[in-house]
Amino acid sequence: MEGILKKSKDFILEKFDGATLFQENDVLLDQPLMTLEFASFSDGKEAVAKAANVLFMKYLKSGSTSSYQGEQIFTESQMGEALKTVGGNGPEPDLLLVYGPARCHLGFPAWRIRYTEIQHMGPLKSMKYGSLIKAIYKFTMVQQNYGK
Amino acid sequence: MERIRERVIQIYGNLVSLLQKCIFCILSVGPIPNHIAFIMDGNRRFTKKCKLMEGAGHKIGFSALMSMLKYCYEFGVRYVTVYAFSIENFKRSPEEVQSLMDLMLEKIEEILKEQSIVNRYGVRVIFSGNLKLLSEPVRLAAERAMLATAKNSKAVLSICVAYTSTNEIMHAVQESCEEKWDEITLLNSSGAGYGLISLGGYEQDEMDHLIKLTDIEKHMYMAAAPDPDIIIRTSGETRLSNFLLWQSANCYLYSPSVLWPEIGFRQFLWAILNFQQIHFYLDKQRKQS
Repeated sequence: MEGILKKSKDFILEKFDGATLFQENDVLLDQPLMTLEFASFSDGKEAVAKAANVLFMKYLKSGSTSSYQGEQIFTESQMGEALKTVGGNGPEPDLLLVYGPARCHLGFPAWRIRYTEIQHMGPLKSMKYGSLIKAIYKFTMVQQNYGK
Repeated sequence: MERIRERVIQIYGNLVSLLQKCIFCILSVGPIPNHIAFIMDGNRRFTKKCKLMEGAGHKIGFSALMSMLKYCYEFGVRYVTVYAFSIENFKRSPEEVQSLMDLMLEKIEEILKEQSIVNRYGVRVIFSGNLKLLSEPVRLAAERAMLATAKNSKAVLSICVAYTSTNEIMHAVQESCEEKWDEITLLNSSGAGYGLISLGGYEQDEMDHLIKLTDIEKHMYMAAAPDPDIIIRTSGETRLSNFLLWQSANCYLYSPSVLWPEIGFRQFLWAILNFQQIHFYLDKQRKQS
């Protein structure tokens, strides 16, 4: 199920002179232009299922499937790589702004929002520049320990 | 004098209890969440703020947890999940990790006692996470607790230890692969495989869908509980820190600014009221996905 933004991405990019579409191996720092990436619900759980199949194929091809009960055969980075090959693993957002009636991430790809600050901005029609600045300011005041 | 004081405290306690029951009655006119999850953040900050001894914040945090569990089960919430210890928390100093493990061991023994909340409300306790990462005494205590409460059926308490969402997803994918492999091997050995092991017998399209979403979901550590309706993270932090990322697609995220040991009835009430307000919207989203 592709989201409506993804289907209209060409139209949206036309409206922005200074934006490019995100490419798989883009490095995020020091971009001269704003990079837009469109994600939809299918990039979440369904992408993980596809990645699981990619890993399964690797598992079979490696041929060494004898005594792996209980041992770890995949690592998280292998999972990340598999997600990238099926197109479901872009960079992790630092800040997620939720426009809508509720503070809820609505199925944003799980692998990417481990440490993302999720802020609720209210309904879409009341979007204001001031609230955006406030949200970014709140973000700059946050201190993360990442578990430590 | 002492007796009068005790009596006054008892009456006050009963009044508060009665008031809470009345509030729950009124609230149950609206939708009651089936599953609430807690990220118990702010214990160390509380210790610093109140200038207590190290580890005191966590002990007070445990009492706060017991109160919250009581509110949940009295209100009718069937499933409660708590983020007790993340895999990332192993990065802390060995002394801190050890004291947390000791606290966990102590509290597991406590909750298994006769008069504890677990027996009063018929709660089945499940430890979700990569339990192999725990030291043996803690792991054995956890397994004992799960066994002892296995027959309880009124409510469920999932305690996430040595847990992260990414680890859970990866583990579920691995289990699905091993299960699928066993399936294929079985088919092959019974002669029905047509050489499936070499995959000659599968179309490319079929190969991309050997492992389905449902296979992965049933191998999640949290498979025994439905998706959470509310995730409450204290200390005003707005991130999920690798907790229930898979299960929280249509979950209301509530971040009160109080520290975990300070959480009380007021925050619980507010979470329920907000949940009831947006329940219709989230339910609609859930049905669409």
